[in-house]
Amino acid sequence: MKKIILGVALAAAASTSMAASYGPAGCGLGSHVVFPNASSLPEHVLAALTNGTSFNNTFGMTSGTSGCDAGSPMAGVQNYMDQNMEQLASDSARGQGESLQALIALIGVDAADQGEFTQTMQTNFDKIFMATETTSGDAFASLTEVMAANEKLVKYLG
Amino acid sequence: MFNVRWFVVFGWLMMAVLSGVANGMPTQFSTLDDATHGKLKLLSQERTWRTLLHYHQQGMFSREYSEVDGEAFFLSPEGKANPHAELQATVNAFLLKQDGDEAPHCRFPARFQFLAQRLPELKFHQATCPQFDAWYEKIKGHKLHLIFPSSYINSPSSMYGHTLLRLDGEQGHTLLSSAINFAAYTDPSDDEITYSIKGLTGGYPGYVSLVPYYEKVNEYSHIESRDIWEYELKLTPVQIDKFVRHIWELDKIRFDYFFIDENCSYRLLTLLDAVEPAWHLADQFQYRTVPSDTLRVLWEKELIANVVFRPSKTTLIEHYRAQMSEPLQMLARQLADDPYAQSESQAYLSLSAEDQAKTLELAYDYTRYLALKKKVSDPQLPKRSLKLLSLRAKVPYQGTPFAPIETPGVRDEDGHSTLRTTFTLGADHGEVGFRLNYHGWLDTVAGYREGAQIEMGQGSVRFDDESVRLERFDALHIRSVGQRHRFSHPISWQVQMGYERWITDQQGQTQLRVGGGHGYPLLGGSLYAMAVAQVAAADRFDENRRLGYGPEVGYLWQSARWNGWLSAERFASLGTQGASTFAQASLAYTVSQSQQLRLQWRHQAWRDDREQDVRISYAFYH
Repeated sequence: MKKIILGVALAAAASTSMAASYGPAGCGLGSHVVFPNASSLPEHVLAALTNGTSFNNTFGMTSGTSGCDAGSPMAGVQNYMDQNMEQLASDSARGQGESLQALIALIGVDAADQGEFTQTMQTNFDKIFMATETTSGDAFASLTEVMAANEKLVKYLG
Repeated sequence: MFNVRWFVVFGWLMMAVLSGVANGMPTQFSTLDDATHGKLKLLSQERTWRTLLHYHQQGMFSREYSEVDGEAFFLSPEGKANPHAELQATVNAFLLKQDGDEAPHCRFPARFQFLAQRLPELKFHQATCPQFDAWYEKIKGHKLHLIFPSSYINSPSSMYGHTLLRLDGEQGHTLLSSAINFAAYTDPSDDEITYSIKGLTGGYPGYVSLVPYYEKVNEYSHIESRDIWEYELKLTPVQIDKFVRHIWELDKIRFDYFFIDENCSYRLLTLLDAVEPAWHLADQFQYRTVPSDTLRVLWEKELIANVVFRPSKTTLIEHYRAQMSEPLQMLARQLADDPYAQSESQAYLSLSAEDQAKTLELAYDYTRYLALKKKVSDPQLPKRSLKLLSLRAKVPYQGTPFAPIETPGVRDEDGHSTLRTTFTLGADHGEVGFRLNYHGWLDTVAGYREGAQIEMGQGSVRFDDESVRLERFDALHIRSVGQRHRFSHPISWQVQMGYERWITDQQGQTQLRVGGGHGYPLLGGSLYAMAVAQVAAADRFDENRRLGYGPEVGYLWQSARWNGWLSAERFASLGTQGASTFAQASLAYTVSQSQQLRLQWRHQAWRDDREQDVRISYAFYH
């Protein structure tokens, strides 16, 4: 029989975890925008107490790895961009950053070409992250275009 | 012609053929001999089997049963309470020739590995497991980290922290590594009270899940603004392999989630114990598990190789501000408010590329803070954010213009222990107090968040020449004071629920109290003012109850050795005549990480009664 200790905190400002949107399709959702609407992120008092992940209906071992890793090198990239639009945008504006590095690892850019890649992301920022309505699908398409036009980077498109 | 010789040869041939056939045929469980059955019984008592199935002694006298609550985990209907029955059922299953992902051989690869190794004579069928094999190939790793997102501003309860694991494999970047997380899956439609009760009493199911690490970084670092500590664990390749096999076994398996003891941090320790039973990591967490305590255990067992600090967005904002002059900070704020006009201004255009980069980056992070923390749904805000990034991309400066942040010298688990016993002496009385959890404003702040307090189960007993009485019992006393400035606008707040005696009349009252307001930086501390409402039941009130309301103002100062706290409040009453006031001044001196000395003056007034006292205390943390 577990000990029952009641605790009720009525006033707090606490935020809860973000809804992860790994649907069964996994890949190719493509609809995330750069800055998700803040009001769609729900709050929950005491969320930290249970470390609840209220809105994530997917759990288990395979939800994070299923999806689009098969096929061309760029297949996993769109999935990643879906989940990291804001981080990629802010890293690209700077031409440096962790999320950008992870993208580089996913695409498989050689060490020799990484400088070219980060600089290209920064120079082409407006083209890739055009507007707040730009979806990850659009950004992915623009990224592919930009890479195709670059003689050093085109080879990574597979 | 019949001949004894032919008979012998024929008999010999038959025996050879039959024994050959017998060796190739799978053993039936029912045909196992007594010696093997004896071996199974012994195996079921081994710690390796018990930790793998999460059997745990419940209390001192009750029997052992598995903490796993999902039925799919057990192959025997008695499996939850009977390790031997479960072992028998498992061996029975492994003896069968079955393939594919639904086969027990594939659902329980850690059990299979263990039993196949210990019972080689049984020659278990080597099943093909396509789903497991593909998954294993993808995530298999060489390094395991314990990840600890620590507290964030305005959520003292987040000081409890959370722990998860990260498995680094061939992904090429830690953001792409696998994060293994145990969490409760809650019902979003539950109201706050239901949520609290269910969370504390096992009303929600907990599951182990695996997601890319960037999901967790996004959640904790960007959205919740929590600093993240990454502890590399010392595990051998064999241990990591066993870990991976075991988490596959827990796919979609339910554990009832209990906030106090069987929480995320506890579950991770039991996962590590399943990998290496000799560690005994979860043993001391019988009744409550606090995440920072689980880190202390890992340090004690020398299982931590090295530590990496990953600052949150809010921490970075503070760090950036410190590297920028006042005029630059002001410009950053103006840019955040209106990037279109401000980026054309002389003040901005005359800056060096590096300074432009700085102001734009701080401005951008501030707009993100506004969007997430204040839940501002101004549709122009995302546009301003994007404009700031677009401007930044055009500045001829690649890379970060700020100096890298230094790793803080004190980590969360370096702070004081969370149980506290206090001995207090006044002019005419003494008190003995005890607190179950966690950290208060006067406790030494190192390793904890400034201005944050969460105390649960704090009580004290008072002795004087007349009597021994319960002086106080707080089920909950949470306080949070945050400093407002140009780039941060937290609300300060408090909640208290419990019983206390007033010094004016020595009468007790039961109360619930909530308050909210603002705090500001002043002379290295925080000055705050809150509007407070209180519902209280006590004999001194007309009809034994009142609604009290009024301001509390105070000043809190916390440093490495000294903590000081002044406060004063005045409550008018509804439902009874009279106003109450209370003021106190407290000073705490840190003798060591586990000891403090305190001095406190209190003054209380109710109608025409006035009382005050001065007390000295000794606090011991354990």
